[in-house]
Amino acid sequence: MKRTKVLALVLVAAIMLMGAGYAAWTDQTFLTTTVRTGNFNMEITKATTRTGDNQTQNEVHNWHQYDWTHTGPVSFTADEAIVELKDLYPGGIVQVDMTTVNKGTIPARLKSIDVAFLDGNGDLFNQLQAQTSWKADIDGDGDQDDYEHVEQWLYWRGLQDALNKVVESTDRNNLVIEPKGWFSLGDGEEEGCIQFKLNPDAGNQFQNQSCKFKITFNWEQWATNPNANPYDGPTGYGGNGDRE
Amino acid sequence: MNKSEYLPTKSSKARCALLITLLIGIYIMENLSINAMIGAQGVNYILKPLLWFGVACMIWLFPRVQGKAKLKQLNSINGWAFIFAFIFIAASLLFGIFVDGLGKSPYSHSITGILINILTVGTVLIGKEFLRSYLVNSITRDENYIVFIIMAVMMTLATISPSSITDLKGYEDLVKFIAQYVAPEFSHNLLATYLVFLGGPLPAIIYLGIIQGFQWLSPILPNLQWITTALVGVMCPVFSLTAMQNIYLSESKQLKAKDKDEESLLSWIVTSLLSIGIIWFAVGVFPIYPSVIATGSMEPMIKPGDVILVKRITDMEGINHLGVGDVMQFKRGSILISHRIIEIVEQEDVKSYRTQGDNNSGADIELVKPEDVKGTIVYVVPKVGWPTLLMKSRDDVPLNEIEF
Repeated sequence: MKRTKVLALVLVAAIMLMGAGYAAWTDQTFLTTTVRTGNFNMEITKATTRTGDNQTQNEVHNWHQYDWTHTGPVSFTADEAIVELKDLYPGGIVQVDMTTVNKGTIPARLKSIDVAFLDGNGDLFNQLQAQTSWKADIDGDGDQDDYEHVEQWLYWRGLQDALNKVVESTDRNNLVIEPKGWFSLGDGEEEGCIQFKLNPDAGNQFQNQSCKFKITFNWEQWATNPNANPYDGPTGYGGNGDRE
Repeated sequence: MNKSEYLPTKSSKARCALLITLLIGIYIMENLSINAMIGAQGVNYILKPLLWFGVACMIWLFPRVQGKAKLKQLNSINGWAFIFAFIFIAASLLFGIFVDGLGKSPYSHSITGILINILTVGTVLIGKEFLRSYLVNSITRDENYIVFIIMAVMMTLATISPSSITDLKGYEDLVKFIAQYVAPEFSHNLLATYLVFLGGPLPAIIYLGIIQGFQWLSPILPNLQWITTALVGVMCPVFSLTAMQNIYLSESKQLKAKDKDEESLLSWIVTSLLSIGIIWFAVGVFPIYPSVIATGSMEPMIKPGDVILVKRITDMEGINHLGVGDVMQFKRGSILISHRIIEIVEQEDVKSYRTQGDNNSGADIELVKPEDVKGTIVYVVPKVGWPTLLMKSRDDVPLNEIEF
């Protein structure tokens, strides 16, 4: 009985000492943080469309083919891009490249992307499908740090569904864009873009039609460690099991 | 009955050596080259469960080794193992809900995922507890704490990968690692070892099985800070161990009259928790901490010898809430100063504070940067800091730095 209590006392004393360490280190953590009045500013800096020379080229396009020659402008504000698609035919693809830069001083996390029809042929809008992949400079050093093909190859989704998947993908990767970092749905000569395709079964009535819609990016400030979970540690209480 | 009948026989010693070798062998296999050869998935989902299941079957075939407790006490021990696991989970959840918050479980909750987890974690658990029970009950028939501690250390080490130790950088990481993983794991193992000593593998399987079941199957888990993990993970099993021992000795009528006169278990637990609470409060673990005031610069609000309670500011939200008129504590060099904010200055996006003691004729010379702010004063307890001041009066406080 006494031995148990001695053992317990040793552990109680150890817990007390750990408390002293905790108090000292939480203090330090804050002291070493440079505090500025925060400025949250995620801004779209570039948005263009790209298409190929001819129908065949457009239909066989894949992520790693960069030779699309026709670029077109996309009007944009800080958090919205207004895309106008015309001259689409069933199965034809238009790639839209968009880059958002963290121009503020606070790290940002993608909360949602909304798409809304603005003008033109509403039926054409409903027949549009999308496939996405993103890339990002997380730490703000200018170099790409991370990317993901949200959907692979042949799988296409409805617009809002495809954009929701982008958010899910960034969420799953705990993507946080530090100040000066960028997030891109396509830019330059590397993979990472949003591609729009007119449903191949849509029929020819949509030829020579156009539609205009806006894509809005909603970013939120990032404050706490999204990975924090004490159970996600090196020991656990047993086997490694299956993780999501 | 001859006492020598209880001593380990030569063959049981050989079986113990075999089991220890197996434990070490499985550990090496988990952490070395086989992992690279057949992949971590194959090891975790197939090889490890198979091996531990094999260990359990092998021990099942060994001559039976009983726990110390009598048959009629087994139900009670199993019941208590269940209650102890429940208390641990409840304590973790309570700390999660009221102190640190809850988080989403990182583990799979699809039906396949749950089945895989039950199978992989369950077989490992059963194998380990059979092994623990066989070793402990073969080696000792008395309450031998050296055996218990060695067993708990061995089983704890078996769950820690070498890379998690080599990845540690500096003392801070080491203390956090011990607090968050090693100490709680050791405490759970110590209780499990005592449970197998009394009742064989079943109570330990019940205890660890419920805790692991909660961890792997619950969609929401307490997201505790490392210090809270240490507190709950160490204190719950240790108190449970003392309680279990008390209960067993009472039921088996082994408690002597003088032991019964001792302070009750409950008062002992309360005293331990209170001691931890007081020490933690004094060193500043909690969001509010005490600080003794040495000078009269804030008179009449705070007099020398008063103790102020400071609400710690640790984030931008706290900084943004600071306003003119607030009395805050801040760091200047090696000392802490508590003065009132008289102006908030913003220069090139950087915020800083002009401060002044209520009893001072002018403002402090240097502006206070947000990173130097410790917290705001929420309460003043008069005079209780005098003993501390008297003890500290011999120390060299750089008085010229203090603006009276």
